[in-house]
Amino acid sequence: MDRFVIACALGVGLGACGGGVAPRAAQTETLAAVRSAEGAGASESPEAEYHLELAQGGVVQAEEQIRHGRMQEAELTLARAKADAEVALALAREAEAQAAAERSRARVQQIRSGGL
Amino acid sequence: MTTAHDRAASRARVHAALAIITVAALAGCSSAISPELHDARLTVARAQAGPAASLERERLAVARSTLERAEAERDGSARESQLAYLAEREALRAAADARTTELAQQVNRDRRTYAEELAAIARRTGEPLETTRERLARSELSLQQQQALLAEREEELAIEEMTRAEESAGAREALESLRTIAQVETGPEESVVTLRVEDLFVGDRAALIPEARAQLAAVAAALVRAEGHDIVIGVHTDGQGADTRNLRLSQRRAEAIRAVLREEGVPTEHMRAIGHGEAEPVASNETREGRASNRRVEIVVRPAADLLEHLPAGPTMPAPPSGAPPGSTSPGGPPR
Repeated sequence: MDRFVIACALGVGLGACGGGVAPRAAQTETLAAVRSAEGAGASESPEAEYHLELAQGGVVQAEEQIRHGRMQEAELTLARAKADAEVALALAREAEAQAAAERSRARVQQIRSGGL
Repeated sequence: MTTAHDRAASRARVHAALAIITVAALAGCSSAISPELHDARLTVARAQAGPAASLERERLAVARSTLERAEAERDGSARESQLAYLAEREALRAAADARTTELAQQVNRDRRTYAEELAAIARRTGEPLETTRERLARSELSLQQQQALLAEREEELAIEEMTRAEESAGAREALESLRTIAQVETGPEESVVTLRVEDLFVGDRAALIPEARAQLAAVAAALVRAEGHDIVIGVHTDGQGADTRNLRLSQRRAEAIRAVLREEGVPTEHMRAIGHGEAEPVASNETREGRASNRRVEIVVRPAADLLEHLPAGPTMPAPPSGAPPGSTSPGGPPR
């Protein structure tokens, strides 16, 4: 995960070789969103992992588009990638909340069933 | 953590999604709506029907507004698919955040319930609340330890079952190699090797012919791999001659075979020799072919009795051959 983030961050500094300005702000924001999703454990639930991988794939695709000077396409790709990273984060948080709810429900059931 | 299968399925979905996005972006002049718009409509509708409608109003409103902008674009255009994609993600986020809020509310309610139950217990027992809380904490720890032990035992059982399944598979594979010299039927619960009596014995005696040892040596080599299995050597005769004589003859023949297999290295601990006489024909004794079929040796191999309960259910053994008299048992049928 760290290597991926560093590799993409380096790509931010490369800039464009022609045909418009590289969407650096969008890249930074998207990378931050991906990092947040990774940190929240998005790879630990199937739905969250799906969107995380879409986001990561989008970041790589945008890098390629920037290298070829297709800046507008890269902006669109980064917008989708950021949206996917935010969904991944939301789903990771939901999975965590689900686990917490199951634990609290189990505690209530135990005390009611005379767990002492 | 997701399983390897989940990750593979997830990767496949990602590749498919990226491919769709690429095709939609290139579509340009298509007159049909983009797949993204189709999906976005469904997802926004679903989110509106759920808790997001009350718990994530603002985000859902953004999703609806983005969807409306997508609807206003030219059918199948790149802009339509882009806006629809973003609208769908906004709706997914709203739905997930709403569910998270509901779950957090549930946790809070459970905490209050727990505290009330704890207080009630303390009142009933007359002990201080803190003491009750500590006792419950110890009890919960004990429960966790028990659950951990149970999980460990379940894992041990699963490994045992896997080992036995592998041993059974190994035994079946070994017996399959005998197909060139015998009739072999294998199954998950038992396998049967059927040999012709004429290939092993002289006339109507219990003496083995010289060529029999080579054949039985090959059988023994396969049976040696069936460690942990029961082996039952069953010898049958045709219907000619007296019942008692056939029974005695078949028993002596079964014991002769067992002796050779023992000499060839098959452990005798789980090996039995049983003479069935003419009691279990598989064909009519009225014809020469039928009598030849009835004169047979059946070596049945099955996991030892205490292991059978751990085996999963498998396919049933094949039906008796056609032409068999009514009530005849098929090779590999009920225990003899």
